Amino acid sequence: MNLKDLILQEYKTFAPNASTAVPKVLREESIKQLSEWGIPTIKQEEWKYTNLKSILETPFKLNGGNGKAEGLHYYNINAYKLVFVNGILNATLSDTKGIEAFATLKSISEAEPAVLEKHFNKFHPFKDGLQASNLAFAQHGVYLHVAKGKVLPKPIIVYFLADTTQGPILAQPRNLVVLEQGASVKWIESFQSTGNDTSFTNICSEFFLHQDSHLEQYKFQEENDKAYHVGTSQVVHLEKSYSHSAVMTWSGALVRNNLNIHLGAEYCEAHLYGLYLGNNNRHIDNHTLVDHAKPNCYSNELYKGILDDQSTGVFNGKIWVQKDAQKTNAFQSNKNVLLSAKATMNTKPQLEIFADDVKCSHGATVGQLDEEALFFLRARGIPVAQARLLLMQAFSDDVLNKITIPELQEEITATLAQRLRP
Amino acid sequence: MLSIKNLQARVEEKEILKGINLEVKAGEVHAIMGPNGSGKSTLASILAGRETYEVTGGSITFEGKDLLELSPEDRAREGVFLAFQYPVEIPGVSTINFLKTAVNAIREYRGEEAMDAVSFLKMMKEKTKVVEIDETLLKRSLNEGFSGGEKKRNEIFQMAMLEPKLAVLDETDSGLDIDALKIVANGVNKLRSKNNAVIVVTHYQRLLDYIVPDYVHVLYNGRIVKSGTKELALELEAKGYDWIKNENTAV
Repeated sequence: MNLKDLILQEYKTFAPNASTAVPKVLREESIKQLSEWGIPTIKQEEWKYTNLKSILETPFKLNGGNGKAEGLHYYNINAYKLVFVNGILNATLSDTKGIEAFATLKSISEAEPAVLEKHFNKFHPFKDGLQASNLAFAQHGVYLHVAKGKVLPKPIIVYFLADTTQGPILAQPRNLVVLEQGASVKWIESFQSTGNDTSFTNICSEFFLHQDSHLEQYKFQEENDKAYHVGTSQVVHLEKSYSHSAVMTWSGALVRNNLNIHLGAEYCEAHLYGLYLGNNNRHIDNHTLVDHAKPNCYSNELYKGILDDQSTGVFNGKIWVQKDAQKTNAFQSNKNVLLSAKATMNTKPQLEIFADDVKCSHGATVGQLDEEALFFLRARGIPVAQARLLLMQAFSDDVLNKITIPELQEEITATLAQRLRP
Repeated sequence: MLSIKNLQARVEEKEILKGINLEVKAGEVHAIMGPNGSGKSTLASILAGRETYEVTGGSITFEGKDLLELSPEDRAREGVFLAFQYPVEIPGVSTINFLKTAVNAIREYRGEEAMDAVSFLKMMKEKTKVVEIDETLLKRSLNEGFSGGEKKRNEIFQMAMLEPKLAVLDETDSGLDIDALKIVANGVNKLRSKNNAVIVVTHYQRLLDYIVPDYVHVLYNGRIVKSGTKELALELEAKGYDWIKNENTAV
């Protein structure tokens, strides 16, 4: 049975017991869309370079199975912690003690309907079959509602582990984070997998930022070579809110990260950072959108990639400056280093500007490590492998520096250095 | 220390060095002068192991070892240092950062223990004084946004840190005003000893007022056509390179 039919069939079992927090009509509409649209193919413009066909016949289990959290790697940080295994929360391994003084934390299936009605599924510029499927199955996932003026005293980290020791797993978590006026959160998503079978994570995280709120979100992809990942993060900004997103991918078989930012009110600021390291046959696709809908907003985007072996990278960066959005400042840069003649990078900045008083710039480069710099370092006595590593680390550093949690920055930097070592 | 015999080299199809012979002993300073395109920088680059040149004949022996057999990093670890004509900029790599790696790579090669952070910083402080370089520059990305003089001073600072046996200065004077030139030359002089040697590659005589050579060689059209003492440099300055060119086309 192909993936679409598998999901449609599973829905029949799932629907009668589904939480009513997410309106039934949304689920029904979405499952209908999946049925019509199917799983995205390379015939769709947004999926031109990313082909999911190798998992279309995989007999995935959708209901979580009996996943275990063995082998989960915990980051060395002081944070509220949530652990999901195969899309289901493992309460024993989670620890969010004390968070209730600042925020409401629940499963999305228990979210307050009034809050959901106002903040859930509010921005979906590129809804496709997979996003529709995610919405139809919105049941497991984090609902975090940070109260007005509250600053979470430590970051919250959510681990999503795929355990395939009992067979292939498809997980579709759905998260909603609402920041009331002046609230502030550091949110971290970590994706990992164990076992030798195929895993497919189809996740969606939504962030709704009220006036003057402050979001930092990180996404670290370290699933194994059998892991497929399609993730969508959507950030909706209201007045004077601030977001800082950093998406880092250094493993997984196929990874597609969508990051959609909607600057829906004046004086908002969004920073988007990405780093991806490809090797072997890895495929890493980053699609970003910054939608400047209102005047006087600022966005800055920097994505960098290092691709080795036969790996493939995709970057698509859309910036929309709508008619209303005068005095927009929008900057975008995508820089890539290819270490091998067989590595491929497809980069496409896509600016659509309908306002006339704006400052926008973009740049995309694909090149090799600087030979002259390499020779220089060798001529100073540094062995060639170490010299290459130094240059690659220097290249990555201006993204890694954007991790504002020092112990996390240190750990990720060390992990990536290890990964880049020949 | 260094023995170059009948060295021939080309880049792509173009022959650049057509049989260079040069003997350098410990404690000596040799100046290599010559008009543009004579092969001066090629010689400097080949000594350091730059791969864009193909050596087609001859030999280079350094401290009894076949230099041409060694990788650029091993040459550096054996004690060869090239001060670049055009110092490279490396965004994201600070001078301190790569020098720490370099110093320890060289120590490891020599079977010495890695230098701890405290000793390294102490050494760095001492050497910054030799070349009068601002310490804050060394914490910044290598040569990024540095003035011409700062870049060249940084090269000499690296030389001071790495303590090479043979230093090759490739047009270190180019682009320097007289004050910067004096500082750079002064730095080189402080590093001179009876155990090390310096090859100064330059187009102009003026650097040699400050770094006084024991021998001067004139390179023209891929060969050393004249060798002498420091007076030769003055003669060149007075007569110009046409003197050499005419003499050699006449032969």
